[in-house]
Amino acid sequence: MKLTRRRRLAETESVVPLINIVFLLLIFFMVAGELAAPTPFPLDPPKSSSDLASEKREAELFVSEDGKLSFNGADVTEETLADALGAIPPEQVRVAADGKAEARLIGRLLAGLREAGVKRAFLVTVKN
Amino acid sequence: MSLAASRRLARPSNSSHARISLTPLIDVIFILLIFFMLASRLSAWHDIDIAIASDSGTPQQVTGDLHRVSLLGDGGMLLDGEALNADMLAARLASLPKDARLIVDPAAGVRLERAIGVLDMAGKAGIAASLVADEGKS
Repeated sequence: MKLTRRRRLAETESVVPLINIVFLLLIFFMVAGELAAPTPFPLDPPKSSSDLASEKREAELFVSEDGKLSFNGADVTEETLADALGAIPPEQVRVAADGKAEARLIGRLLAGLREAGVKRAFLVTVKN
Repeated sequence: MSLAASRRLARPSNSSHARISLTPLIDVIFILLIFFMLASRLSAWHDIDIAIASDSGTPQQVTGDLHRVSLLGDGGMLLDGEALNADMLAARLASLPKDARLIVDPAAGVRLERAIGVLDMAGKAGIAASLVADEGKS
């Protein structure tokens, strides 16, 4: 009887360090990470020293490393972006582009947004 | 309830070693951990404000000087046609008047991170900068 109880106690205690570690990991991810809406494709934004915290704007344009575009959740191309912007274009657009994307493509997209009537664009970066 | 069952239920509270089972707690913590690992982004996003307003006039009508930084495909960069390295460019941008305007014109094949680097330098120097892709130039 005594023997059985001691073994049961030892089994319970061996789990406690595991729980401790898992709990610490949980707290780390809760504090260090920020909850974010998923991006349509893996995205690694370029680095900058900007202090302007990114926030959700009226519209959002994603640009992948190989030039794929996604506007407000729908796949678009350079040609169909103007149609996707619609007759009443948003005033502010957040452009989240991969750091490895071609810079000229972003330049053309920004020019396209300007022609469609967008007033301000915000390029997403991560703090270096 | 049978006598045996009620005795089994009553036994833990009578015991001096009564403890709540940890297993459901671990399950919940583990699920929370996995949720936060998948749903959170460790690198916070920061925005660079790109002035693209068309109603503020075309660059030709802007009062300040207009400067052009060309990013070359071989890694070099030119400020108004003069070859510079990154440190020299940062120093030159810092010495420009604050009402100057900068146009960043990358060559074909230049990645966005290089252009952002120059936009970032301009931001530090307090100069408005825009990113263009002029066809037929550079």
